[in-house]
Amino acid sequence: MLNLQSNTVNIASKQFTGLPKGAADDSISQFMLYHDSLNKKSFNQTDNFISRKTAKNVSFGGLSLSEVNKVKQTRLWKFLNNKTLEKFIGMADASQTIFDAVFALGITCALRPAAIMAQSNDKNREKNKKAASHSISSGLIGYGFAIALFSPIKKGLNKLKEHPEIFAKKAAKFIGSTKNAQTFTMLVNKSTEVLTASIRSGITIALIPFIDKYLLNRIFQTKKTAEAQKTETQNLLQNPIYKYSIINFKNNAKASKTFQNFTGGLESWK
Amino acid sequence: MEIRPYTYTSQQRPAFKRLDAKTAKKVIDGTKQFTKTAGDKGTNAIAYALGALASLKPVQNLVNYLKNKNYQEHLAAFVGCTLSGFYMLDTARSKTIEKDQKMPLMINQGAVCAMSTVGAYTLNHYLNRKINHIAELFHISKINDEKLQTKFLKFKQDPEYASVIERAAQTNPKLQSTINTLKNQFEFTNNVKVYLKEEIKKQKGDNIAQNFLKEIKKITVENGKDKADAVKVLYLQRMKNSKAMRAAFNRECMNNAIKMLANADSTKKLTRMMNGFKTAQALMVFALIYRFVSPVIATPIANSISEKLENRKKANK
Repeated sequence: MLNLQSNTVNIASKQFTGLPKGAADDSISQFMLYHDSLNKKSFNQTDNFISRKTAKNVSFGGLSLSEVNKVKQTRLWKFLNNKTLEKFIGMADASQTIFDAVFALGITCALRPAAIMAQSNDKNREKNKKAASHSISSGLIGYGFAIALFSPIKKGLNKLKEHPEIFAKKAAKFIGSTKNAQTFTMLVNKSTEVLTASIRSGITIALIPFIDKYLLNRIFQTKKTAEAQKTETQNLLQNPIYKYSIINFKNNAKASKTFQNFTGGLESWK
Repeated sequence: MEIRPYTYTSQQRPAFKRLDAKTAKKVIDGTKQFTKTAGDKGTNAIAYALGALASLKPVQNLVNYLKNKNYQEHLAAFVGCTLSGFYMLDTARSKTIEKDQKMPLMINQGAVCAMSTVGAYTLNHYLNRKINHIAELFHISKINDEKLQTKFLKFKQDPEYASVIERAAQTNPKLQSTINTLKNQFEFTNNVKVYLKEEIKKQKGDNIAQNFLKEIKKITVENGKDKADAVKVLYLQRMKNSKAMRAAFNRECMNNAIKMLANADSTKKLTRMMNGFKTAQALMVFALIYRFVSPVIATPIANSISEKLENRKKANK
């Protein structure tokens, strides 16, 4: 009982300031420092107001500081405060298009084909090869179109949105409203994607056999099954293929007369 | 007049420029400058062309028609499906791909398309909800001022904390003005809709909020006016009696306050972090799922289907 009572008293005192008693300067005042220049006088006024305790002002909405500390001890909070994460995100912000393109290329040209080929066995190797080469070619085409077409259009749209009075004299008012600008950008982006879809798919599909032939067939040479190897060796035994050396010293008279009387180096020594 | 004897130095008449670090840097800078100016001109031309496109009447009518409708998801799904459709058509037509390989590849492309569109309608909502919380925490963790950070964390844990701030604002006109600007900034965006649905789940039996979501669909506006404005007015009216709606409103205001903070910060670190998190999030989550996971899962499924089809064909013969 005693514990319970002391608890309730604590919470009530905290809820006025949202803070333990000691920390007086932590208040809403800091919240506004960033927005506009408030002088210290008004800060103090807000502090006075909050600490003025009347029965009407009691609210149970505020949280005690301990709950904030609980959040700060979670793994997620520690992960978010990680310095490497900050660097990574700084990189993502500094070069958005490059970051995007490199990531997409990495997935479609390396990670996805590798994962697809890892699943393959002798039965479905050819099918998986086609899927992998489709992934690679679509990644390459996506990258090319993003650099050559989509990112310039994105930049142009941004310019239009920033200075509608320069780039669209007649429609400055129309683009000026944010909702209109949003729908217009969406419309332009999606329509360019739809209009170029047939070209993109045409090149992508045309590239598949080439990637198959020059890249994947070299990496994943088809393994011969045991039966196929047996028949092959039998064929070889039945119809042997003789491989002659190109320089036939004795019998090839047409090739050169210099070797006509040549009987072989070692024999002449004897 | 002074007569100087002529002495030959390599600096006066260099036979050729050596390729040292200085000249290399000059060349690189020159090419960078060239590409920058060329890119600027190109994007300027595109901006002018798009401006001309925007001033056409039919385009404006189309935008006016579309802006009050929830079309974005459907449009994205449509674009994805057209591309996959073209893939399948081109594979069927192709002369260089072997005939027995066409069927599995086509089924593969179709399966990837189907999985992605279904995922876009179901999985995206779930993921967005989770990521929103993480993003908010990340933004708060990057606020420099520690005392301010605890304030926002309290807000994040319980949106009702707004009442404490509002009480403080009663005697403080400047705080009142910032709160008012935050209120004016509020708009019923898709994000707020997500927040509201989350809050309705938390607080069961909030009929006012549920009715509001139904009411929005029936709202009709006059030509030339934004539907968003009418929805905002209705939201502010209904908010007084609904706890869930107030919580969603407060959460949106908190996010707007973080944005204000980021704009006021002279180092612009917070803004950079916010933008970076946005791009990284889109890449890590959605690109990984739709470019990697779904195609990898689709391949064995497509293979087994095509195998069954082939077996059936052989049996029929």
